[in-house]
Amino acid sequence: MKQGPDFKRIEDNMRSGQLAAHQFLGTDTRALTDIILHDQLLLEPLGLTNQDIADRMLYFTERADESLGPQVIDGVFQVERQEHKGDILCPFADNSHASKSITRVTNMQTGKGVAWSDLNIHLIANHGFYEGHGATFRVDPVEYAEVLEIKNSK
Amino acid sequence: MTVLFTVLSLSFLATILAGIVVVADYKLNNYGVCKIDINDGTRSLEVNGGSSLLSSLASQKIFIPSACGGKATCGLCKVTLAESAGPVLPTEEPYLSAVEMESGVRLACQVKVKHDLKILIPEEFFNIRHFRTKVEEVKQLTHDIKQFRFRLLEPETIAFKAGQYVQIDSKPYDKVTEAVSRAYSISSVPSENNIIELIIRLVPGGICTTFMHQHVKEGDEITFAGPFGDFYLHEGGDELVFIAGGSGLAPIRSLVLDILEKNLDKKMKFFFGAVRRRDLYYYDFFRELEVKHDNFTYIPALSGAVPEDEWTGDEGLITDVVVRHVPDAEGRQAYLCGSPGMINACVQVLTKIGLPRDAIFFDEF
Repeated sequence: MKQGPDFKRIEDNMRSGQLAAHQFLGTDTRALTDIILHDQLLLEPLGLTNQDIADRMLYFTERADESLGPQVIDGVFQVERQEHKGDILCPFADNSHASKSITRVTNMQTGKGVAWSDLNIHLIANHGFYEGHGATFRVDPVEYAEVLEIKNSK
Repeated sequence: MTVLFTVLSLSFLATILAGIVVVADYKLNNYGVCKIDINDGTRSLEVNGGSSLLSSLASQKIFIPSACGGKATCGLCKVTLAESAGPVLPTEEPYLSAVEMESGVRLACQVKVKHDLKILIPEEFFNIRHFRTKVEEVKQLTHDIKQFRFRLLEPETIAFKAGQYVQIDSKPYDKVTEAVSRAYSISSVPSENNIIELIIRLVPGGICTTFMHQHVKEGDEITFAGPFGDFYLHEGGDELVFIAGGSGLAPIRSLVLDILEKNLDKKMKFFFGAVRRRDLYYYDFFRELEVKHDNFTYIPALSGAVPEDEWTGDEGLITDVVVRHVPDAEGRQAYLCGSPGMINACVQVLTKIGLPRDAIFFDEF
């Protein structure tokens, strides 16, 4: 998919270390629009939307935030929040920012675990962006849907 | 596909508009030399217009606290404008209360110097200096926490109160092309005024913590500004309750050492909350302090101990542990440093046992 000069500027910003040392695109060499488009195609067979994924992540984030230590919720998920100083700006330059804190969730039935930063929730809900392959905070929609047992909201 | 197209289109349009505004501002506006009057004539500066108030003041060696390097994500760089400098920006709103907005408080990083300004800042900001230092020692404390010891080169000494913090300047590395400055509490004691020690936890993706953890080595030169902050010992309190988690131990260590060194007549209980045994650091140090000083008690607690930790100390959430050891509020003050979640929970618990809100001091991440 062809992308305009401003998306290219956002992509360059993401590949640089201007906002975060880890870079949002990791080792992914595809254009930003291609990365977003590809992840949307992954969602379709699952019958899920960006909002479904973001809502579920927010659900666990809020539960983890209520406790000072690890806790089990819904009998299946162990959640833990690692709080870090400061906020990080949204790379799409929409004036949004989110805490650098990290939520970790382990599905105790499968033993599989995933983690995300608060900014991931904003990026998915508002920009359909799951970060590039190899990025520290890449959220693979298929993997996260499985581990977090995300269901179609309709 | 429609959703994707809409998202991409809106993002594209917003970016174009922002670009047009920036280019027009740059091309059309030449602000010349502007005068900044500070505290009703206490200081008067002349700066080239066009930069942020934060950087304009820093260029004249007046350092306003800022932990995000001017990106409007920390809300620390508050100054009062005696005369309006335009409307409050949406980027500032989350950090300003209605009362602050009404009284002219703005974020210095978001105010552009376009004409003469009159501002009000706390007098202590004039004492903040910029220091050049040499990294004397780097010590790994846990898997993601390091301690750094800096020898001051210029100026050679610093005057600070136990509990205060400094802002370290990072340098470009790898793909990070810009330097940033970030706030870290001093963990050393004020009497050692030719060095400072900082305890820094690695934030995944954090520009400055990654710089400090992966690129700074002994012998390097590092600069910082400081001291900043009002988290220090206040009048009153026969018994002090210190509560910390993670790198929040830093200012508490400085406070405890300062009080012991000055031989102040105060009892101290230090609660440190961690998940596993591997997350505890300075354990032996505080245990030794406890042996040497009758008025100091160290109470580490684990919230997620496993059998291999072989932990025999306090277990549970730090709030529950505090309740077990602090029966009432009589003659007590509390000093807390850690995440907002930990601080909120501890404030609730402490007020429940009767500690007045003005006897609880905290330094939030």
